[in-house]
Amino acid sequence: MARLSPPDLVLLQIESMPMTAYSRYIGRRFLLLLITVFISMTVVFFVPRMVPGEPMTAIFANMASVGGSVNAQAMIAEYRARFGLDEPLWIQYISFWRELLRGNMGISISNFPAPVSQLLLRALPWTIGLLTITTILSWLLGSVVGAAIGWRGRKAGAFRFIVPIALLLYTTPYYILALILIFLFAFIWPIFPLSGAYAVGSRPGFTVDFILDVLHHAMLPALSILLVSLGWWFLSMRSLIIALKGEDYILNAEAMGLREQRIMWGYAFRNALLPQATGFAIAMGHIVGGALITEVIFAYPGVGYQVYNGIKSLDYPLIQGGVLMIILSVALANFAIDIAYPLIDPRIRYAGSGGK
Amino acid sequence: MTRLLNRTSISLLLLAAILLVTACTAAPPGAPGAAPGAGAAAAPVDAERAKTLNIAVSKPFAGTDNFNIYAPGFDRSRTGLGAMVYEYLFYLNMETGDYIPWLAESYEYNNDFTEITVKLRPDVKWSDGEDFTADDVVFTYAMLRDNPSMTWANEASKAVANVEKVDDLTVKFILTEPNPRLHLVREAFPAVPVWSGITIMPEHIWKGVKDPVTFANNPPVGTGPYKLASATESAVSYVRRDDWWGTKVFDVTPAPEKVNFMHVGPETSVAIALTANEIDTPAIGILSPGAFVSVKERNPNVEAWLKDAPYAWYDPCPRALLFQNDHAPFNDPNLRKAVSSLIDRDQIVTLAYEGSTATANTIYPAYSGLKPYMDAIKDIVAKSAVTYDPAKAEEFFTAAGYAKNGDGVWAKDGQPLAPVMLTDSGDPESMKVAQVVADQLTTGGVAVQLQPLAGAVQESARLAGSWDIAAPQAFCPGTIYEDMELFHSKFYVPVGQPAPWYERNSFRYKNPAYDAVVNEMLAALGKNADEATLVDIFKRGMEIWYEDLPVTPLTQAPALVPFNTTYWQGWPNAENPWMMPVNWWATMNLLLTGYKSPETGEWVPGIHPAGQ
Repeated sequence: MARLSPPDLVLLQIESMPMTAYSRYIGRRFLLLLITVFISMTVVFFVPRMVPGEPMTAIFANMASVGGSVNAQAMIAEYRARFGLDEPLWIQYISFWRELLRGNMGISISNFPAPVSQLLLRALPWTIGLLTITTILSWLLGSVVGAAIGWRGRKAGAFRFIVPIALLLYTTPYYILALILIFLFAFIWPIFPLSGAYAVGSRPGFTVDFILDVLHHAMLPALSILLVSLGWWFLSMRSLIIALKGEDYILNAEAMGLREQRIMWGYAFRNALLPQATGFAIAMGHIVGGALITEVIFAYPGVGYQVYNGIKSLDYPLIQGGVLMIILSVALANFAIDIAYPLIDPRIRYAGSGGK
Repeated sequence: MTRLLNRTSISLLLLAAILLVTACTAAPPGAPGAAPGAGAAAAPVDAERAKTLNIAVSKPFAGTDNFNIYAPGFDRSRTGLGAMVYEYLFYLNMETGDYIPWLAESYEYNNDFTEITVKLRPDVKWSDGEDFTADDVVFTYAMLRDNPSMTWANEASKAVANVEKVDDLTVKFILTEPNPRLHLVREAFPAVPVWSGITIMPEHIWKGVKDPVTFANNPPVGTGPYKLASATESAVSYVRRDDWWGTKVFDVTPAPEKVNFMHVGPETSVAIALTANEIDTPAIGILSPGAFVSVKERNPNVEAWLKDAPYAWYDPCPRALLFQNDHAPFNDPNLRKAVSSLIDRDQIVTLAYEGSTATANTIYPAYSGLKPYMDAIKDIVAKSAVTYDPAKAEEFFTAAGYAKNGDGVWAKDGQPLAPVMLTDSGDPESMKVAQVVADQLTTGGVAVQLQPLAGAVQESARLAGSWDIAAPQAFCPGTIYEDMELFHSKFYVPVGQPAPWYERNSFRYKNPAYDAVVNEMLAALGKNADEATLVDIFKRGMEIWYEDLPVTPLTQAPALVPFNTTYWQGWPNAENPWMMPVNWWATMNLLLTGYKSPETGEWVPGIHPAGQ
C-alpha cells in the first residue's frame, strides 16, 4: 500500500466500488441537478415580472428620447404582444418552458430584434477564454506554491515574502488593482493596449495576426484576475497544509522514513486538494456569469455586462437566458465535483454504501 | 501574526512608494507636458492614427448586426450611423441658427401651412451608385405608415398625411393640419437638429423587406461620406467613401479617412486614453470636470468649449425639478413656490456639477438666439419664486396653510410635509443633484424621502407620476414654441398611466388659460408673425407659468466635451462657435465636412489634420 503512487490509489478506489451503488448515486445527483435548474428558472421567470416596471420602456426610452411619443400606449401594447407579454402569466410560463426546451431563448427586448442566444453566444467565447485560463492557472499556481511554502514553513527562507504579497493581493480591491495595472502597463509603459479584446477595426478570424492581437489584449485583464485570485488559492492551500502537518498519518509517514517530497505531495497535498477542488469547481461554475468589473474596466466583451444590462432594463428574455447559463454551469460544475469526489477522496464514500 | 502584519504593511508602504515615484517621474507618452513648449512639435508618430478620428462612447455596443435606424432597440446616438452613413434634407445649426440645405436645396410652405414643397438636390447618389430621388422620400413615408411600430412612424403619420412625388427631384408633403414648424420637427420631417429622426431610406433596398421593424439593414446603404467597415462590442468603425456625391457637388472631402466610435472603458480609462492621445473626443457625460482638469494638466492639447471653468458647452436641455401637480400636496402652487424658494441653485452648481454649469431660472437654454424672449420676461422671473429665499419660502408655506411642528418640519393638519422624491440611481448626475436638493429641503424643514430607482423601474415610475417630486429632469428641445408646448394639457394623462414622455407632462400640469396662449403662439407662427408679436405672446404665457410654477428650473445642462487637438484641429469653441461641439448627434458629419453658410454663401470648413 505504501508503495502505491496517488494515481494507483484512485484506480484502486474505482475498482473497489460497487458500480450499481455508484450509478444510483450519480442518478440521484443528476435528478437533483434537474430540480435545481427547474426551481431556479421558475424563480428567474417570476421575480423580474413581479418588479414594478415596464420592460417596454427599454424600447421606448430609446425611441421617445429621439422624439417618438405619439401613441405610446398603442405602441407599448403592440410590442407587449410581440413578446407575448399580453398573455396571462401562466400561459407565458408554459410557453417559456416550451420554447426553452426547443432551445429558443427568445428575443432581447432592450436590443430588439437581436436574439438572446446570439447576444450571449457572441459574448461567451471571450468570457470563457479569459476566465477559464486565468482560473485554472491561478488555481494551479496558487495551490502548488501555497503547498510548497506552507510545508516548509519557517524553512522557506526568502520565499516567505510571498505570504505578505499574497495577503496584499488578496485584500486589494479588484478595481484598484486593475486600474494600477492599466496605469503602469498601458500608460506609463504602454506595453499592453488600454482596453478591448482586439484592435479596433480588425475583423475577428482565425489568423495568426488576429490571435496574437487577442492575446496581447488579453494580457492585462488576465493578469488582473490572476493576481487577485492567486492570493486566495495560495493562502487557503498554505493554511490547509499547515493544518495537515500535525496530522497523525503525516507523523506516521515521517516515522516510516518516507522521503519528505513524497509525504508532502503524496500525503499532505493530496488531502489538502479536496477543499481546493470544491472551490475550484465552484469558481469554474461561476465563469459563465462573467467578470462584470473586468468587462467594465477593460472594456472587454463578455457575458457579465449583457446580463447586468438585461437586469437593469428588465429585459425578461435576456435575464432568463443569462441566468439559465449561469445556473446550468454552476449546477454542472457541482455535479462534476459530486461525481469526482468519491474517486479522489479516500474517505468519502457515495451515500448509501455506508462506507467500507 | 504581528510580525506578519508588520511585514504586510511594510510591503504596502513600499508598493505605494513605488507607485508614487513612478507616477511623479515617468512622463506619459505623447504628453507634450514632458517637453515644455513642444506642444505642436510633438508630431504624431503613428501615420495610421493620424488619419483616424476616435470618438469614445459611454457603453459597449450590443446587437451589432443590426443597422436599422428605425428598429426601436437600435442605438442611435452612440453608433454614429445617422451621421456617418445617412444624411438629411436639411440640418439645423443651433449655434448659429443656420438652417442648412443638404440633400435638398429648398423648401416652401403653401399659404395656409398645409403643404411643404421640397426641391431635392440633383446628383445625390446612394453608396451603391443608385440615384437619390423623390421616390425614396415617398417610399420612406409610405413604409412608416404601413409599419406603425417603427420608430417615429406614429409621429410621421400624425403630422404628414401623404407625400407626393411632383417630379424626380420635387416632393410635396401634405400635412394633416396646418403646421408652420414642421421643417423643425425631426420625428416627422427629415431634417435634424439632434440625435436623428425621420431618415430617408433607399427604396431599392427596402422595398422587398417583409418586416421592416426587424430588418437588420446590414450593411447599411446611405448617401453619407462614410460607409460601415466593422461593428463589434467595443467599436463601430467607418471608412471614408471616395465616391461620395458631396465630393463632386461641394468639392469637399472630410479629413478623417477612418472614424471609430469606440468603448475604451469607464471614466478613468477614457481620461488615460485622452491623455495618451488615443481618443480625439469623448461623448457627453463621460468625463467629470475634475477628470477633465487633470487630463488637461497632463495634455495641454486637450481643450473644451470654454478656455476656463466651467469649460462646458450648454446642451439645449436645462434641468428642472418636477412637482406632481395632479395630487396633494403639490397641487397647491404656494407649496410649489415654497419648496422652489428653498433651493439654492448656486450650491447645486458647485456641489453636484463641480462648477461645470450655470444656474437657470428658466427652462430655456442660454443661447443667444433666445435672448429677446429671455429679456422680455426678466421682470416676471425676478419677482417669481425661482431663487433661493428662505424668508419668502416661509411666506409661501404659511399661505399654503403650513406651520412648523415640534421637529422643525412644516406640517398641515398635523401631517408633516414628507414628500417622496424620485431620482434615477443609474445616473450619477441625477443622484448628485437629488442629494443636494434633498439636503437643502431637509434643512428648510421638508422631510424629503429620497427614492432612488434604476433602469426600467425608474423610467416607468417617472412616467406614471406616482411621486411628489422628481429630480432632476431635462427639458428638451430648447426652442421657444416646443418648450412652451411641453406644458400643454393635451399631453395630460391621469396618474398611473404612462405620460407621453418625461418632460411632456409627467408632472400633469393643466391650465386652460396657458393652453390658450400656446395655441395662440402656434397660430401666430402660422401667420409668420414678427418677433415682437411672438415675444409678447411668450411673455403672457410665462406670466401664467411663473404664477403656477408647475416645475422649477435648476441649472443649465452642461455638456463637457473635450477635444484633443493633437491629431485634429478646427473644433468649434466659444471663440469660434461655427457648429455645435457634439459628436453624439446626427449633425456630427458637419463637424467633419463643414457646410455652406446659407447667410454668406461661404464654405465653413470642418476639422482638419494638425499642422495644416
